[in-house]
Amino acid sequence: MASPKASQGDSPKGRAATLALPWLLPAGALAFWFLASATGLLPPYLLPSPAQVLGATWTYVFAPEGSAPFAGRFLADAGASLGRVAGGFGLAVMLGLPLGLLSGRLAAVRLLLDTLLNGLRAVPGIAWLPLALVWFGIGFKTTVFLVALAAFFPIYLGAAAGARQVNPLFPRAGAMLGLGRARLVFTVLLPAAMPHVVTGLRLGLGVAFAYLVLGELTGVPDGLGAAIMDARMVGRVDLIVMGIFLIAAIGRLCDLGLVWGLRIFKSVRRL
Amino acid sequence: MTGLGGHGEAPCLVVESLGKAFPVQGRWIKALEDISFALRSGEVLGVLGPSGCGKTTLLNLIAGFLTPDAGRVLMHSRLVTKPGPERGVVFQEDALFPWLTVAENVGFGLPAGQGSGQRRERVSRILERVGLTDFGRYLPRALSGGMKQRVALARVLVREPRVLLMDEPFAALDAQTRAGMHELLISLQQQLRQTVVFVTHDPEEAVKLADRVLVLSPGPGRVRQELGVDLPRPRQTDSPGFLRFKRAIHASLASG
Repeated sequence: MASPKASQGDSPKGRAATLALPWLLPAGALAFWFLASATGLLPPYLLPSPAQVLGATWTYVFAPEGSAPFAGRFLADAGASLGRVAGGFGLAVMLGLPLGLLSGRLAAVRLLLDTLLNGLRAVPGIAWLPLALVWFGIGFKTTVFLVALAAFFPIYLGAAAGARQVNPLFPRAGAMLGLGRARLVFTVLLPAAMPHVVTGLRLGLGVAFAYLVLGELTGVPDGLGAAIMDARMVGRVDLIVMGIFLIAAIGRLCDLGLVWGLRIFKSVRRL
Repeated sequence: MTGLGGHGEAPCLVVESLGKAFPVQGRWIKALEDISFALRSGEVLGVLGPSGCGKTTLLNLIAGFLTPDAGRVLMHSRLVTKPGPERGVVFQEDALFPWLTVAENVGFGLPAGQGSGQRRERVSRILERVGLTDFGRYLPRALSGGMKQRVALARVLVREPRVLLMDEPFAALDAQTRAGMHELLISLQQQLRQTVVFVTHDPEEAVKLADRVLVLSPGPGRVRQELGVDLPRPRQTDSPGFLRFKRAIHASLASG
């Protein structure tokens, strides 16, 4: 079917490739998964079949609560997880963005912060977990702390890099046109730094999800990470696989939402 | 055309024994030393000199971007300490805000207090003056070099500056575009009578535009020669008087 159409010209062929290429590897992996399960190459106790995972997902998302183990937990888990990500990411933005902009513009601030922050950055997040448990106990606060800590660094570094590479004529032009310092920050510095700031925010949100799961593995009653951990306890590999897919999907949706939401800024739309 | 306060009026811009040094690899290098001049309102000064003679530093000091190590800058008898819209600057390279349209760039410096209708009105009037009426909604990156410099001029003019500072504003343009910008600048300056200080490396540009020319010597920058260009306007670039001034400036640049 496709071959006569594709041979008609370069343009449709190119368009078909543009549409098909991004899905080629996922579709291939799915096909392999199907075949490997159907032929028994992959035993179900290592990786359940796609149908089984889909069934588990259906139960987890749509079945009435209590009708089966894990049934109907999705909304509560996803809500709890998103709340923790929002809290931690929000904290990281509130601290990382202003500190990053300051350190990108003022050598004194950079000298003051860089040694400490780069030292802390070298510590893997999981090393903070025991300390966080001592400080905050099990639950919301520990997870928010881990998420905020992890998301802080990319946001800080993005803002600092963005502020540092702003064309030095831009602040001068703004000052010459009569703007005071505070207005310069919001109307010149931040827009000019925006491409790097956006990159930092996206990386920050990405690691926020990674540390969300880490924080939720510690015995909290709800959340997507907790669901995975509970599933492991009762040997439900299908639910573990489902959890991984759901976290991937929600993480990707949040990234899209972030990029889309940031488009209220002219500098994001036009730079 | 030369001298200061020729008619008993106070000078618009006074530069008094200005000096500035910069640290280079741990040592202080003097960029400017003992520069003095005074400009009457509406006078046009061209600053010429070889590269590294501190021309841009001089302009940055008058603009208030830098603080002098010695001497001072006075505008209407008030000490200049920081940049301000009464001293508009047109930069050498493109310094328009790339995330704003042409109209938004031009309206950027207008006080927020005015109504949006009044702001739009002022922006479109200034865009018409620089010949960019139809380009208000474009982004700077869609414009040619000459059009960008027109926008740069417009965003400064909208604040009605009494002093216009220009750092080789037309150096990056081709000869024909540059000639067009000269015409535009001369006609705007004759209507609005700003005091202008412009930096250039082109003697012809200096003689074409300036009432007075300052030739600087390098390392550190000092005033080597000051010429009053008392040619009638419009100036013909091939008239004997024009060529005489051009030769004088070339000779001054070549000496030492």
